[in-house]
Amino acid sequence: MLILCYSVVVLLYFSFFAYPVTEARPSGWANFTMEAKQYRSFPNIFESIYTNGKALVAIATIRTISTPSTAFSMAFDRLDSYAEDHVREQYGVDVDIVIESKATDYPFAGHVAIKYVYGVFNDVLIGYPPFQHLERVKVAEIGALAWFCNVDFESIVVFYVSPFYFDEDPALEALSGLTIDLVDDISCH
Amino acid sequence: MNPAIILLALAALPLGLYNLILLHKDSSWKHYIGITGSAWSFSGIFLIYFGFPGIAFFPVLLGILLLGYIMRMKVDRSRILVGKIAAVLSLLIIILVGLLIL
Ligand SMILES: [Zn+2]
Repeated sequence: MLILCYSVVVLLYFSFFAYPVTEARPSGWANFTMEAKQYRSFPNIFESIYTNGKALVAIATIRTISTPSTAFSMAFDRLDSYAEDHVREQYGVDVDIVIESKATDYPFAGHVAIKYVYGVFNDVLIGYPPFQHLERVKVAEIGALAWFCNVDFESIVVFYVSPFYFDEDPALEALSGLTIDLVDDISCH
Repeated sequence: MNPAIILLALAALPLGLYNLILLHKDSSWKHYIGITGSAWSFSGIFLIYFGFPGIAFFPVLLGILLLGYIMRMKVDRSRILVGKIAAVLSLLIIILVGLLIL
């Protein structure tokens, strides 16, 4: 009898963690290419990656009871490496990535999120010949947001890469705006 | 409400019902420990849904069990009970330390 009870409990816990997440996403991504997949089924994790040249937004939705948890940390590290790979591919392998700010009470999507911002620095040629010189410039920004959605019992991790130095290129400047808009537009429930 | 939350809340019920049946049989007060734990687990899920910090869920549950076992210790000093208290206490310490450090 007691064994039966425990089996039912285990079964219910199992089905909770396996239950498909309702993925957190923006309402539109017209300017981005989207790639989405079920990354794991236990605990259930859904991943979607939005890319447009130098910009990237990666979102993971994880079935959890609370944050932090092991699955949450794993998803966080995974998206972190996506962002870093993207930065090295698009902005150069020699960039320096420096943490700029850390907030644990950032209001986002109707919840309280943790938010990290990293600066991506690289040497850039500034000025016109013959007066050009190399300068260390913040070429991009990596942002990480993470929160627990108590309405759906899911944890959400978002990483974005946005250009930060535009070199008088209006298209690049616009891309930065589009990236930040896409991130701000993410909702989880 | 997300069906996953219902599944999680239902997981709290079997042990409560089991203790309820035992209580009906011999009306010993010790079954109330299991029933209280089960009631907390069930309602705790809905508290989290309404914004209660999920991080406090397991510490409270283990606290209820620990309190119950300690109360039982006063009447019956069996080895199994001491073992249970040690297990729950160490689990509680691990979780609390984990929460404070992480
Ligand atoms: Zn939410």
